[in-house]
Amino acid sequence: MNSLDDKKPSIFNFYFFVGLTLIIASIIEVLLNDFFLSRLTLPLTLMTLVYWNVATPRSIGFFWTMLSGFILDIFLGYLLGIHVVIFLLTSYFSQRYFHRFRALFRLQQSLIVAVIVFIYQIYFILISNNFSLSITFELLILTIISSLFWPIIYGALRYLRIKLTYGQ
Amino acid sequence: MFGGEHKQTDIAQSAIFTTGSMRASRFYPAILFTLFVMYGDYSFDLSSKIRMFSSFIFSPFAQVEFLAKDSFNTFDSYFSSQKKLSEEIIMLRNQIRDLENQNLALQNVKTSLNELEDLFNLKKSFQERKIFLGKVTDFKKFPKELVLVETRTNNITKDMVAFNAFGLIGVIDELLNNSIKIKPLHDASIKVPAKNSRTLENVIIVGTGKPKTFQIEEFKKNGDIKKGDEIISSGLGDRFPEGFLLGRVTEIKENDQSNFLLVKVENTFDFSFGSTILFTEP
Repeated sequence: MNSLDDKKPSIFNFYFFVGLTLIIASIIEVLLNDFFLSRLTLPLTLMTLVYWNVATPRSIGFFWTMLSGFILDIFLGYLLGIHVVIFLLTSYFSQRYFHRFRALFRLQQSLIVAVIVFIYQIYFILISNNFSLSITFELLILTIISSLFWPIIYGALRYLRIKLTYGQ
Repeated sequence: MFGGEHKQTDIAQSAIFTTGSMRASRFYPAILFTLFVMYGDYSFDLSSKIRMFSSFIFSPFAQVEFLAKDSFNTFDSYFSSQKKLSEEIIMLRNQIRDLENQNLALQNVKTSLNELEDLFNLKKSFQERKIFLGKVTDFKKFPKELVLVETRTNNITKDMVAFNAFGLIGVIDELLNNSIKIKPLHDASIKVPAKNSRTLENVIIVGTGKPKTFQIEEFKKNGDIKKGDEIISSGLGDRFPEGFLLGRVTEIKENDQSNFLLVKVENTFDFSFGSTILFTEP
């Protein structure tokens, strides 16, 4: 009988898989931004990052966080490091409080993610100094959409993680 | 039914005061590095260089969509009668384009020939004077209006005047190696001795700085002048040849404060017209 530990992939495989999902999320985010031409974007990378930091806090360092942040900075036209700073802060707090986050119901998690996304979007509104009624509306809509997306992202990444880890 | 929820609540109760092993000391180097990169980008605009490099690297991928579309269209139309029709249309379009180009070339030749004809008709007025031709290479409007002309002769001197197909248009401003700068006649610094062809009264016309516009200098109030009078060069002073039309009187204004009339002379000579310039001695 095979134990679950026998099927565990090497830490390198897992580490690169995490990086790959973050890079794919960044690319999708850039494409969505190009497609909708909105000032704010659906923060798929941020939500993916939150998931990995909460699910496997010991396997994910800061390298992929920084790389995905730099990718977004380059392709969305921000000063290099703008996304990275907020991603690092999110990673730090997610890794610090992952026990509490994991213990919450999915609905509560969605609310927490909505708050994170709200702060994230406010950060970009402050940086671009772009206050208006329309952007407030955009901000609220994106926050609600992001919180609705969280269970989907959570489920998809959890499925992939289990597949990769246990092959089931 | 609520078993799952009770379990979840138990876990939450035990986890609520737990923190992960993440320490801020691990976080500081990454944030410092990021701030360093931000500063580098702010100071040296690193991101635009990276963006240019990445757009160069990924440019083939951007073409994939067009390539796929073209391939599909080619494949789709290959077995259809549309292919023959579209090929015929392309061929006819090419023929039309060639004919348009030929037409344009012929029009240019016609314009050049008309211009040369006008210039050589002008030559008859120069009697025994030597004339030289030059090719217009450039026209400048700023900071001052100039025509640059290329010539192959070294016999052109600074006292010569320049004609185009319309007539007398300027004087030589500067002689350079194989090229000449021509200043327009309407330049404010130029004064031309002239006469009224109706009354034969000598006058001096000065440029106003505006194209095709001159003024008669100090024309007395009791002088005989009418709108429409032809003003021609008088040849006095040996600076400009005699008998060439300079313009017609278009406006006469009287000023109570002055003993002179303000007489405006205009012509239709386009200083920047044509491709050939004729030079002659006054």
